[in-house]
Amino acid sequence: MIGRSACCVAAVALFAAAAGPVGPDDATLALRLQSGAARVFWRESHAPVRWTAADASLAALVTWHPGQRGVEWSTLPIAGQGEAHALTLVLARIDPRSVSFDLVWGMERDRAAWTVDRAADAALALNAGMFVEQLPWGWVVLNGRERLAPGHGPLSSAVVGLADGRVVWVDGDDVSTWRGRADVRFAFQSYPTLLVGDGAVPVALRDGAINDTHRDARLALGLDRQGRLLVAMTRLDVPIPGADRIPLGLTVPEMAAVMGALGARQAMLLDGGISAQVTISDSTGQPRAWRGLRKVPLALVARAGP
Amino acid sequence: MPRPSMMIALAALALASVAQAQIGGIRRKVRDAGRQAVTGQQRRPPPQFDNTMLELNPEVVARLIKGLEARSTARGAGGQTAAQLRTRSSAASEEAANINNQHSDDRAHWVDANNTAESCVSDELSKANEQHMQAMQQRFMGMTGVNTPEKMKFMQDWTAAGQEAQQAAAANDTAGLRRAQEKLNKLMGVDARADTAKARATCHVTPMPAWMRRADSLAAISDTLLVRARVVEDSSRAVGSGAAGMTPAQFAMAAERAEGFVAIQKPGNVGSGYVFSSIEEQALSARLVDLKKYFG
Repeated sequence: MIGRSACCVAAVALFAAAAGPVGPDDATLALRLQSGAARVFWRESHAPVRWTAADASLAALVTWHPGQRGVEWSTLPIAGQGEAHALTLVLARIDPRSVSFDLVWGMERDRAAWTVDRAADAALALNAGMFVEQLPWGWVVLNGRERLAPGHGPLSSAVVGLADGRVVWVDGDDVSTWRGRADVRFAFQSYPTLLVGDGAVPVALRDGAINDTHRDARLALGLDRQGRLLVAMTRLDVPIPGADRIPLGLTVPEMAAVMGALGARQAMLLDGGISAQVTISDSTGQPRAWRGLRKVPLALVARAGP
Repeated sequence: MPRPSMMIALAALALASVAQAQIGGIRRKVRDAGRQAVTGQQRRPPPQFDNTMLELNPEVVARLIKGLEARSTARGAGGQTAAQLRTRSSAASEEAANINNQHSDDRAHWVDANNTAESCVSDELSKANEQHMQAMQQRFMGMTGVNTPEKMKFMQDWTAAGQEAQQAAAANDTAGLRRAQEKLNKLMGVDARADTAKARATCHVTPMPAWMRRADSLAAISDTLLVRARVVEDSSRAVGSGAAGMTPAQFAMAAERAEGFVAIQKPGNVGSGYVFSSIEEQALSARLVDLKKYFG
């Protein structure tokens, strides 16, 4: 045990030393290449106001693995600043035409009770929405029935699943177009919005109106230009078993950059920190779970087949 | 199978090493500390506490628990806590689900049969309306020629009711429109209720089964309770921070960090971004049983 402890401490120390210095004032996001070099794909000082396409250098380095039908997944080592100097992005993209979605209510008695371990048979599952105490914030429609009324806030977005299988992204907090419609199977809201319209970064993420220094484990959901849902979750890349769940990661503007660079035109954060959790079944049906430290009240579950 | 105690010890050892400077505290205002930490050359001191992130020393933990207790016992307008409302909502939802599961195919059959029957009712009412229209046309055609007091009275009443209907429609007055329509129907000898009853009998419309009414009622009750629970959750956060003598932001931060501490104590959970000072470790460990009541 002592030997293992020493090994792990040494590994962390070596890993830390390899991270290297960064510029004093300009936050960056970089891909960590196998050679040990870093390829910067975003600089705070030159942050795009709008992402018009995926970042080619990043896209070229993502190796998409086939999951269950309609789902592809990947992991990508990146580096941010300070505590985020070594992260892994867990990525997935889902073709809504090839999967069926369910929004799963995870409350039992008075407590949130859902974890990814409940969805080991799913093509993909993740915590959905934002949780303030025990219940989700904002609008929740399950199996065509509205369980919770819409929330309001300038940086909220919504995802609406229709009976014909289409998934609709709603920028902003006005969901009146969709509320009460008989063809809405599920819906939920979350915040903050990361990208709106066609890749635009909200002003509040650029002018410091929201906290742009706080780092946390992040989970984001987006819609790309091919109509696929895009999932990105940060995990701390630390060689201590289980410690990837340590909730350190990116700032909100950095996460917007990740989603923009991956090709999302619209995106929002889901509950991160100790809540963030994703499970993806590989092509053999074997689940790969990135667990959280907290049970959650709401989950989005995708299964192969429309 | 991982041994949690060993894993936590490993994580603690690692966090106490030079790497502590990289891993750092999650809830920290990190920019400066992060820059200092990135090279791994400098040993970072324990978590930097500020006006948002309070050190969870015994006194603060005691206040936090007081706030958590106040939050959990805060009652809404109906005199119930958020937890009680959530529990009742879950129970109602579960009962509805059980009923529906017991009749898993029955609902679909009833819905299909009802859709067919309602479609039939719609057709029957259309037929009845058509017959009424024809009767009305014949009646108006029969009014050509000699005017009688009865005909004059009918035309006056018809015109007045028609104008009343137009005005109600223009004013979006649905109740007024319904009253005017009833007058027009009465003038024409149309009994809409009788037409509907006849159509439903013809089409063999079966009422919603009692179990289904019960299930739908329970689902609606569950939703109402859930909405009320969220209202109480919203208001109880202010109660909790007030009882703890903290700002809402301080209280939320302290609660989240304490929840993280509780989470890593559970079997299978290893590692933590919450870099607790030794004072915090001792204070939180000492009150772990109390904290588990709120985060367990």
